[in-house]
Amino acid sequence: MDVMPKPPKRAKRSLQSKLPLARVFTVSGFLDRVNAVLAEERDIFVQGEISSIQVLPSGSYLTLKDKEDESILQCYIPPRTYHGLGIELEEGMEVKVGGAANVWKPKGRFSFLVTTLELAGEGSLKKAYELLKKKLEVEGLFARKRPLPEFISRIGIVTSRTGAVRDDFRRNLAPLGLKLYLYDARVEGARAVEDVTRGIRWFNERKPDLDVLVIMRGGGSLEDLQAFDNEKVARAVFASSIPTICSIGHHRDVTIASLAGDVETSTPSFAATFVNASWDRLREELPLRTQELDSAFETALGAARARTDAAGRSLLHFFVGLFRSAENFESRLKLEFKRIMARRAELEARGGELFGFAAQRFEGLLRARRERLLHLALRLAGADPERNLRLGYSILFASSGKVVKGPEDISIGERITARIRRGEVDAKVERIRNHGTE
Amino acid sequence: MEPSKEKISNSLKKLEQIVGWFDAQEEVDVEEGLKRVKDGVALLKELKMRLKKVENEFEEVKKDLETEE
Repeated sequence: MDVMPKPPKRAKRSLQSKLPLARVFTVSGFLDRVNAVLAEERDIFVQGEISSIQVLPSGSYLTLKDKEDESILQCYIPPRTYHGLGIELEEGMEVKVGGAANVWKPKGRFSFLVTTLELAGEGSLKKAYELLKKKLEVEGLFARKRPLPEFISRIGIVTSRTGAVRDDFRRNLAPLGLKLYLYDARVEGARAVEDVTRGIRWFNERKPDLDVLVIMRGGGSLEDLQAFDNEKVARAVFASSIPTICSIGHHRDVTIASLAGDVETSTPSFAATFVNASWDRLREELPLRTQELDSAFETALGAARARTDAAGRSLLHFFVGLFRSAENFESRLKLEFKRIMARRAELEARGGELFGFAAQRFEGLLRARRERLLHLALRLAGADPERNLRLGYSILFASSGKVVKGPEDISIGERITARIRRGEVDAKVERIRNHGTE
Repeated sequence: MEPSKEKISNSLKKLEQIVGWFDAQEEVDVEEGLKRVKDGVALLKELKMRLKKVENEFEEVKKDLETEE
């Protein structure tokens, strides 16, 4: 603990060395001189118990009491500093104030100008914690819990760049091409409250499209973690429009900031698992959907295949029927053909019979004709001119070449030819004697 | 370009709808089914790519802040 040793001998020596020995000051001049010397003493921290506190618009007045000899130090906290503390101060709390001493000239009062104030001692911290918790709980700061978005890709981190938590967080994140932005903030000491609140505000103003804001700090004592039991920090966390994960190493109770955040984890690696888990749905659904799609289409194809098969079978059935009909037709045709052939054979057989019959008749006819011809031949033979010529008859031919059959066929003086056996005789008509009609 | 988280969510929804479409059909038109399967496969491919191992990028922003202030 940085408690100022008492008495401050170094300051005394310094004062003596700077004041000329026989010099006489005005009151104001002396106080100016004293203040100038006091101002040279920087980074002074004084720890003590609050014996009284008075909060006024013009500033807050604090009396710190030494626990051992009950020495008193009057402290002044300017309004801006007081409102920035984020701590509910009460009498009896032990605090560590940082700042500088001076003398307030109008009253000649020595006081300590507080620029930073932290709680000291477990009792005070616990008391402040309970007071703040109660106050913010009533306001509803711990009731709102926003769900973290799915598929967290862009993350803002508020923590110290030198802390191990940053690496723990990074190491435990799945490699998903995430974008991580670190705001380097002090997470312990008098500046921590300001740094952390500024970091939260910075991300909300400059990178409002972040998926999540992670406020981290490793474990520590109640005193180490007091920036996260601070009202300012808790309100900044609550005011963040970006959902928050507060990963602050626990003291016995969860820090106030963590209570005001959306998700609270005790370790950075656990915070990383929340980020990783935001991708679970994709990891789980992808194989599931792949399988479902595959099986849905396979089923659809199966149904289509079944329909095609059924259609194919119908078609096949149709063709088989057709072929069968054709076969039937062919056999019927063959049968008919056979019948026809049989009929033909029958007809042929019958035809033979008829032919025989006809031939018989024909032969009869021929015979009759032959007989008739013979008869005619015999008759013709009697009428043969050659036969008559041989018997001594002759045939007269008129000059016209026509056979003379009667006196009227010739005229007197006409040259006629008589055909006789083995020759002809030419003659001239001298006289015609008509013997009358037959 | 890597799909945004809204797009991932939408793509998952579309996939679900595609699978649901198959479930809802009594008789699936194979042409239409094939088209939907193609769409689904494209979505799956894109989403699987998003789960592929890609190193995370880390950037400190405080310097940026200090220069601006």
